[in-house]
Amino acid sequence: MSDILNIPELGELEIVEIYDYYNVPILFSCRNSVSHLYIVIFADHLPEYEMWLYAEVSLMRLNLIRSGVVDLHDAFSKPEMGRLLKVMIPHSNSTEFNSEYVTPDQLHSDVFPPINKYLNFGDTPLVAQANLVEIAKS
Amino acid sequence: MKLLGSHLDNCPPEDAEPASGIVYYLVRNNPPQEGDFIPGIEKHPSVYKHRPKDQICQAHGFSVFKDIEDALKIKEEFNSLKDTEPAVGELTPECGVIKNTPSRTRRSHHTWWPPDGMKIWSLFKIEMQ
Repeated sequence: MSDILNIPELGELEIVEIYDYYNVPILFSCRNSVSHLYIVIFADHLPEYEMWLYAEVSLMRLNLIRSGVVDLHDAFSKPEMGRLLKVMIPHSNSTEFNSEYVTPDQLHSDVFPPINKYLNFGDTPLVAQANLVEIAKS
Repeated sequence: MKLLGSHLDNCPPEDAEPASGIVYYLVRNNPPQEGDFIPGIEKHPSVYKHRPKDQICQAHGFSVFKDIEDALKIKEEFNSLKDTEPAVGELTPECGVIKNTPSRTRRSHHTWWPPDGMKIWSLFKIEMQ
């Protein structure tokens, strides 16, 4: 069943790091089975859906975001691949899950984090794939 | 008193303390309703498939703040929480247990494990700012 960590376009995902949490992780990084990395945010709460945005990131870009060199607004409004995956997860089973690639300009600017909001996880850089497996399992 | 998560080993954790004091919880309804209190493990179970046991335990509880500024800040920073308001509740030991589970930016974040079946939404109200 499709959910935050099981997306048709991306496959099954494993969380790498959680950056913010409110009952569930609401800002986190994850990787899929071929080690593509994503930064993910709970972007909007609508009457029938939750909207989640997934930006594919290189390891270097993710470390720049984590360490506060790139702010969270740019992380999602200026994605490296030029597109985001918009995932709509229904509140109930009576509505369908859907996901599609969009460009940032197709989204209302409100869904992006505020400008000049930065993460502060730069004390321990993320390293290459082999260690990511251990981090995700830890 | 059977608490949420207590079917898991070491959940709630041994260092959780009897619930007490004022806490703030973000709700979408005024007055708060049962639907405002869905634990993460029910809302998004797949998130916890491979997570450590302590995080799975945490997901059976609820995120509350001891400092209203933390509640207001997370609401401001996440568009997905813009339609919520901080509701205030005063907890007592009959309300379960609570543990400080701070993040780097939200030092007053706590996880609260109430008794299973308690109408916890009735403990909270939205106060006009």
